[in-house]
Amino acid sequence: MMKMNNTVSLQAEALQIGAYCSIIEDLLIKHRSMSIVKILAFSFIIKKQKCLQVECFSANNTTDLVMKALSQMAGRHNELISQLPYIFQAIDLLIKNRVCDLHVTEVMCLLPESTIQQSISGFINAAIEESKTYTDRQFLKEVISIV
Amino acid sequence: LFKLEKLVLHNIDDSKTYTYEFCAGINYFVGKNDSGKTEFYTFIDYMLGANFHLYNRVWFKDSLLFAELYLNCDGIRFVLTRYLNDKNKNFFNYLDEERGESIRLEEYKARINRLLAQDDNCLRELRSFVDEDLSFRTFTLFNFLGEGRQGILNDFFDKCSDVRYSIKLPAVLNYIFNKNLAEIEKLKEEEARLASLLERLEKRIAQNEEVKNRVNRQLEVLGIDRVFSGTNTADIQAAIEEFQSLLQKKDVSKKTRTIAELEAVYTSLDEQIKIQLTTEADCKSFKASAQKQKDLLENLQVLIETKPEYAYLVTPIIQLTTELDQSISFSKYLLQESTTKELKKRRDQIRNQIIAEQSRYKVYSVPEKIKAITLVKEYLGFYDTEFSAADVKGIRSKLRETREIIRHLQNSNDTEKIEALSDDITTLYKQSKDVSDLVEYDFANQGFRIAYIKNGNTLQPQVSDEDVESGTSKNYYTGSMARHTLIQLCGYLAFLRMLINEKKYPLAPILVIDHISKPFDSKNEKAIGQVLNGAFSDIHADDLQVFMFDDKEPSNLAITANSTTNLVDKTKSGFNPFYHIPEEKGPNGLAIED
Repeated sequence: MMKMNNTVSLQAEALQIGAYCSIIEDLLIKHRSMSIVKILAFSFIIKKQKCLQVECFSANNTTDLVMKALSQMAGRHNELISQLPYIFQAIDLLIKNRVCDLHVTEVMCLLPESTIQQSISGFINAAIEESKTYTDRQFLKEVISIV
Repeated sequence: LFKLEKLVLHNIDDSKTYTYEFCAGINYFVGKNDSGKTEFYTFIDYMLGANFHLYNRVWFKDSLLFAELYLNCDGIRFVLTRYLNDKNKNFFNYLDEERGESIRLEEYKARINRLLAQDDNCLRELRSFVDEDLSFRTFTLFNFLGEGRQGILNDFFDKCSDVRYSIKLPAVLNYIFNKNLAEIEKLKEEEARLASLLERLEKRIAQNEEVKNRVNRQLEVLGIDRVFSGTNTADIQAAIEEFQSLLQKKDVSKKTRTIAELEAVYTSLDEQIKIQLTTEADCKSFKASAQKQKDLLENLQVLIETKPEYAYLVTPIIQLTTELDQSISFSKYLLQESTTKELKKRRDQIRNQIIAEQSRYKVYSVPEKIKAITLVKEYLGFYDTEFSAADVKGIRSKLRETREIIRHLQNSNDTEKIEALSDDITTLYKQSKDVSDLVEYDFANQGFRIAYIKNGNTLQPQVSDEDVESGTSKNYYTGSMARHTLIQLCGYLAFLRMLINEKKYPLAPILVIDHISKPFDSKNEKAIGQVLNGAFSDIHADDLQVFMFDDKEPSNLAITANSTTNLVDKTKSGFNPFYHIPEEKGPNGLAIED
């Protein structure tokens, strides 16, 4: 019984990390480089939305995109924290497998750009674009105050 | 009390600074053509959070890095810093405080707004009145009298040519000239009450509908060929009694996983919404975010202890989190509210999906049928029969009426206030009667006055009708740019005086005037000073700061300035002291000598 529980939790962990790996890879292929903080927040948002199939905003929005994206996750602070280890492990795996590389706090993509249909919604992509005008510190502040 | 104290400019490598000191009352800046008068004028707007770039302008590029505006608000002194090359690199801090982290333009504006908003309630009232998020930026309409629209009396504010301001102006004027504010608020409360009542009733209708559907669905499960319409309760009960006695045993069917999944999604969303609603209710988000920061830090520490191999990824985040300072956190409550609403909608959709999925499985076991019978009986008890649709209709029309009244009241004007403002403008204009033959000529007309017309935001000179006894007046059209500009100035001053005295608008008590003497000839230009002196005769110099940029000496305009500064002196050629006119080269490559 004990053993089975253990394998189940291992499987669950592997699934989580796998999901994050594919999301982060998608993110990096599209946006080439992102800081760790932004990867943490956006990969969490994307994974959550895939699971819940809930998207409140469409790509028609043009203002306050970062706030809107983050506000969808308001009240999920504890979840975010519990997911952090998986995201870190996923980034670590990707770095070890030469998918991306780390420069100080910025994760750079090593894969070529591709036109493969992406799983990330237009709204989130726009929000990521907007987030590039935020410094890491400003961004983290918003994450903490909203989520 | 709100006062700009000084403006400090820093050159491109931050090695030199230059300070412009401001005082209460009239600050007069003299400068010849091309000395940066208009640049100074726009710069003040920029420092107050205007959203435009200055960096590309030739006289700032490569010479000016950032500027600091010192201001005094009720005795507390602040330093506002804006970098010219990045509109999101701003600082806002107390005078004796270290400069913290840079803030984005939105936050910069929000903080100035907080200084200027004298009363949170008024701001909220204003917001609910115009149904739009208004800040002090909109009110800078009243602060800037520029060169561009001099002498234009309809939509007479300078910034009206900018659509961002002109679309908000009518709503703001509606608010300013409304005497029914208390009544409107009462009606709005009534409206909210009716709306919630209606919502409750509609919910009950929906519940009834739901009960009806449920009963019918269970009847389907049981295979009873009857439809519950809301009135045939007894009939249905009889049919069920009959069915119960006929019941036989059958197989047990199972539920599928999809529904379980949907349910998980539903629960998760539901929890999130609950948390959001509670945080909305409790406004101490500041405390909450400190707690969250602490949580995050603790968890990151634990992570680093258990999995040291990820330290290289986690450490920078820990550092970042630790350094985050506890500055004022502004609630993005409007945005959050709408998201919550949207999430609720999605939750309901998922619930409907669950119900739809469930009814697809058509094989029902005996226990399920027994359950169905119990359910039908119970549901029938829930059905609210005492309830009529007519009530709802009545309430709905009442609600519509209330809304109409509110709209009507919002559009109705406080004529007394408008009259008072018109008189005020006329009095100011009259101040200059002795020094200007234009004005003297105007007042020679029977019953000359300047009327403020709210629709179109127009200043309209009027004279009495020939038929004096009727007491009506007719519009009076005259040319002359100087006359119109003077009327415009009177309009600005009267507006500012009115708004400042009411003490409830997020308005900076300053008036910035650019090159007003342009349309005046030497015979009439003293009128400007007379009007300003007239305005300062009953506004205290501490309550209104005026910045004037002009090429004439203040004595020519009969202005008694509290401080006079020349923009051009030995050390500099204009407003920006670090800008040097590139030396013109002659054809032989030598500098041209004067």
